[in-house]
Amino acid sequence: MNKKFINGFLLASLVVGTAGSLSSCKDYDDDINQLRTEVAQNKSAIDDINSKIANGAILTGVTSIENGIRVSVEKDGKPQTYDILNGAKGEAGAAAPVWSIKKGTAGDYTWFEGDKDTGLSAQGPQGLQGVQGNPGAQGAPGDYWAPNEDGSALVEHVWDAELNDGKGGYKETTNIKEIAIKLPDGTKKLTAVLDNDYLYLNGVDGQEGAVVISRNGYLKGLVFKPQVYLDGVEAALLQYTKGTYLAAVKNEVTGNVTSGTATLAYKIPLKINNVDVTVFPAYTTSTVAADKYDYAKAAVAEFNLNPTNANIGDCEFEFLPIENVDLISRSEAAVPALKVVKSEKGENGLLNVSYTLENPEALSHGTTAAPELPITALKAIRNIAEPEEGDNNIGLENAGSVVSDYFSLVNAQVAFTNLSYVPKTGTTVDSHLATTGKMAIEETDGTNAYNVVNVSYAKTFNLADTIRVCYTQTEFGATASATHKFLSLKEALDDWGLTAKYAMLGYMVGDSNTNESDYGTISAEGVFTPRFVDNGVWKPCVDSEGKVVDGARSALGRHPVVCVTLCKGDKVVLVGYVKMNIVEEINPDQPSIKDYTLVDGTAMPYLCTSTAFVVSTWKDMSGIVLSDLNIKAEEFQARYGAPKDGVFVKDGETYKAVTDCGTLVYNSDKGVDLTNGILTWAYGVDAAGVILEDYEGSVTLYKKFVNKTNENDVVYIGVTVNISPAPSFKFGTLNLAFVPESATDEVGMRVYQVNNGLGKNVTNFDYLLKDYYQENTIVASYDGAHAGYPDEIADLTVNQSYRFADNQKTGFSLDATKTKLAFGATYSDANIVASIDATTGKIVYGPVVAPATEPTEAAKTVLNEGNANYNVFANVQIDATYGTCKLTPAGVSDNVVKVDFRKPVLVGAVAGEKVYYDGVDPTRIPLGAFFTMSDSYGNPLFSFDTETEAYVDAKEIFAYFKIKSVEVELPVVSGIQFSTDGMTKVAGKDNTYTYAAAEGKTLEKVNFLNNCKIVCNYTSGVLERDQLNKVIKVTVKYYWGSQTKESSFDFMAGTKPKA
Amino acid sequence: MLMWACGGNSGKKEQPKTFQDIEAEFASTLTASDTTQVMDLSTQVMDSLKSGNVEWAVDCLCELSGGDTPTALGEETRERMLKRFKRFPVVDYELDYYSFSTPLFNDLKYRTFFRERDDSGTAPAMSLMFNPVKVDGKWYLCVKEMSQPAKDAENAIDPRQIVE
Repeated sequence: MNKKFINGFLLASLVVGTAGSLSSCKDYDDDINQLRTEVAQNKSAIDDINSKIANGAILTGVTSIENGIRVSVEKDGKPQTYDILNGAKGEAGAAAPVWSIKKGTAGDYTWFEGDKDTGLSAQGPQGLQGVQGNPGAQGAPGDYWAPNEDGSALVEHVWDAELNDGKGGYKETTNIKEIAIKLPDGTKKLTAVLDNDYLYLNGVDGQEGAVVISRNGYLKGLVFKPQVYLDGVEAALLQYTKGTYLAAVKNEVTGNVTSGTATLAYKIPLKINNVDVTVFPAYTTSTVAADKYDYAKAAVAEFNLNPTNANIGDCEFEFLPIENVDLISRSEAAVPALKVVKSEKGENGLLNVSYTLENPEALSHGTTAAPELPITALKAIRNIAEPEEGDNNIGLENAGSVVSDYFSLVNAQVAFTNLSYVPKTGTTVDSHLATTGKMAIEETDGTNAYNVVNVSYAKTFNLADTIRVCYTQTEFGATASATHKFLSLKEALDDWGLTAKYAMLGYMVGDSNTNESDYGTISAEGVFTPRFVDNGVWKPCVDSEGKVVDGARSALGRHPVVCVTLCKGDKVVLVGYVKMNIVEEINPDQPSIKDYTLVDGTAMPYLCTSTAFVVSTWKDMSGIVLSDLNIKAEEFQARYGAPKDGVFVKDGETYKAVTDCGTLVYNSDKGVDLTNGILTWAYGVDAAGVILEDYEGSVTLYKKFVNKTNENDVVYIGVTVNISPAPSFKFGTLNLAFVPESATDEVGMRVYQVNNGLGKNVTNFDYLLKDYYQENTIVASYDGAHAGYPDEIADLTVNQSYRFADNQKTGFSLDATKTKLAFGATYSDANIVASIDATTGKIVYGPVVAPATEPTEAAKTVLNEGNANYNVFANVQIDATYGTCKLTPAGVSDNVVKVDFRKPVLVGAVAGEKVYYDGVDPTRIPLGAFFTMSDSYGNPLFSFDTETEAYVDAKEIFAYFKIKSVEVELPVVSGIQFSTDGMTKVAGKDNTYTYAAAEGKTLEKVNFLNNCKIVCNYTSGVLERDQLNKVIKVTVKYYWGSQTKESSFDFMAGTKPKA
Repeated sequence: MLMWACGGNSGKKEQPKTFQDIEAEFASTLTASDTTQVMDLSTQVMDSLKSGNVEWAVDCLCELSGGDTPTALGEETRERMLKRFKRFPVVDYELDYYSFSTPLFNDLKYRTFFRERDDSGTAPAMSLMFNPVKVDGKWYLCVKEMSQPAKDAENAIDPRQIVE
């Protein structure tokens, strides 16, 4: 804790008393409220006492009263009292004890507790000098008792002649007389101790410690509050600036400026209307020696006061001469000196001393090889009247002075560099004002561009609010910094004593004799008012009521120039020039969003590559945008500049950025030729696809332009990009020869016929889809309109591919590529039925999937099922894209063909044949009588030759179909025992017999149809009745599976009738 | 300071710490031994200054290089310190206050009197503020400089300030 001074007042905090028992909630609340009232009252009283003393009152006395103490203060003979009350800690109604110094009965000053003389000697009103206490050794000052730091006890002080190098002095002993009354809970009762200088209060409710109040506010100490420390020394930071003032360059200036599409000459004359101008187009560093300057920024140093309620009204403050000044070599002998400008108590109770430093340049350190820290101190000179005699004398010291501890001064050098514009909220752009009239008018210095400030003709414009001051600062001990810092104009005035001055810079453009800057005035406060000329009289564009005056629009497009100077007195420190542009009304508070479409582009075909583009010209811009905004191209560019990055589309009432609709290129080249493209959209297939997909083929793409000085003023300028829908294709035409009469998009597929001449055999069950088409070619053609696309579809490069259509017969499924068809709800190679080559369109029925060597059982089964001549089919689809990048057409039609897979062999049943017995031998019937077989073309694999009375392979096609076996399941007929000749009984089946080729072989000839016989052996159970329609199942197995037919025979009861 | 403050946690995201929290954390690591070490160091220096052994005392002092490494005083600072004590010798001194905050920022302030006290006990005085730093368990006596906060200066860190 800082021991250098005693706080005169401690911040009160609400402390809830806990002593005593509480009988009820209500009582507790009452106690709390009472306590709060007393705490607040005590705090208020203490505040008032301190305030009075700080303003010159004297604390004259303290007495005990019922329930507390009463403090008396007096100023200018007017007394006032304040009561400090006991709280819950004390005894209700009990007076607080007061210890004070009075003349005892012996005539010496002693401590009294109330009216009781304690006999403890005290210091008299003269204070330290001439203490009238207990006499000490002869010639030695007497002992005395004095309060300790917080007034909770009296401490004995005795004279010690050895102290202070033999000069003697008082020292404290360990003898203590407790004054503060402690309660059992550790807190204290209210007590008061009043000595010559202070009132000590202990046990004040709401105070955590003692309250110590200076009786007279007599300033006893100043404690500097450092801003920083340097080399361990408390330090104050100072800024100063040095430089040379600017002098006007009084020369006429000429140049060229672009206005619209024209380049015009301008002149900044030295006389306008034969009157010398007072505002000049340029300034330069003065060469006059007296124009050098260095001065410090107004600074404030803070000091704690001892006591805190010190009355500084009678004090004068000054700084001690600066010691340790490391003077640099100078021709002037100016000495740096601190001057107090103002001293007052701040709201924080600290003494605020405003001061300046004269000749700051002389106060340099950190620049020589071994600099020293300049130091100073603050001195307070007290002016107080002579004390009056009386019992209530208080120890007024003679008028004297108090000096703070020494502290150091740390200098930083500031250099003002430019005037710049205050950046818009959210940005940090540092944009400087032009430094000559020429740069402002031409808006460039050849390298850098300078802003033109748009101002509405319909209102005044506060230029001062838009300007700030740039400076650099070189810190103590550091190298010069080029980083710009910024001051507001207000700070420049308040802290540096600078002012901003404004004036119009006269100039003429072209052949006009009109001073362009007459189109506005600028006030001393920096407010610009646009003007126009009405019948030779200049008038503000708005009247005193803020209404636009008729004819004021003639000021639109004018460019007055304001000269801004930052001055110290009448000397110029910085200069800047601002070119105004008088424009239409801009309401910064109200968003203005407009959009324009410059051109509705011709529809472009959706192709992989294209050189097509959409372009808008400056002519479009002028006719649509500029005419609506009523500004010229140059003004547009000056107002809005280049567009923001990105491309935008309108989404309802808002605009959103898009990145997939291509690029809209902005060309700001105004050029002489107004047909130059301003916005260009070049075709890109990806962007075109997005436009087709997401925008139905038409979208307006915008560039966003934002007013440089008003971000609420936004203009979207765009072009409409139209993309033609992709073309649709159709395929045709099937060769009708392959289409069943009752169908249209359906063809049949068979195994190759026997003598195909192509080397194919019955295992080759495939066909090229194209071969079902006319001229064996699947030809794509446009389906519907295709404007913009090549007339010849061949030029479009249509790419065809083949697959099975999504829709197939129930119970069949496709693989992921949709080029394999399988039987079953879920595709499996084990059940593959057919395949198609995506590139060639070759359809294969029953493809053999390794390691198998034959088609799958599923393929065989479904092929032979059903009663029709085909049971399984596949819907084959032709897919198409176009272009090398394979674009998807809008639609494809006539592209699905149903391919029926025909059974290679049809096994037929026989019905109605009659079998008779002859009574001698069993009846034997050749196997061939029980079924028929033909190919898909209707050719019989065998037939009965009536001449030879045998079954023959008349077409010689039987062996082609790789018949493996013929099996018969004979019926059960009462009275007839069946058997066979030449056939083998099938194991496990009583009535089933087979004739099969050897393993791995097939039946080559049909002789077995004659040689194998069904033997009907009539037994002794002679049929008395005909046994009709007895089923004999015949199963033929061949390469493509098996078929079973049920032939029916009639077994007659008699012999065969004679013919 | 910040790295030290973050090193104690396990990397989990915790409630933001205030400077007061950081101070409390550091205080919890200190013992009476730390105070003794620091006071012994400073007392040696102050007594040396008082006895006129200025060079030795100044050579005991450090400054923070790179913001976190105590090194011997730079030549310019050393020269300034020597000149200061030559021009304003330490006739007497008293402890003003001390306060521990973080390993790199602490206050240890003395008032140095460069003339004998008069009869009223007053004498012109100047502060000497040290910035004791604790690095790798050892205390160094650095001189308080501009970039370092001090509790009684305007650049004191607000205890409520959130430390990332």
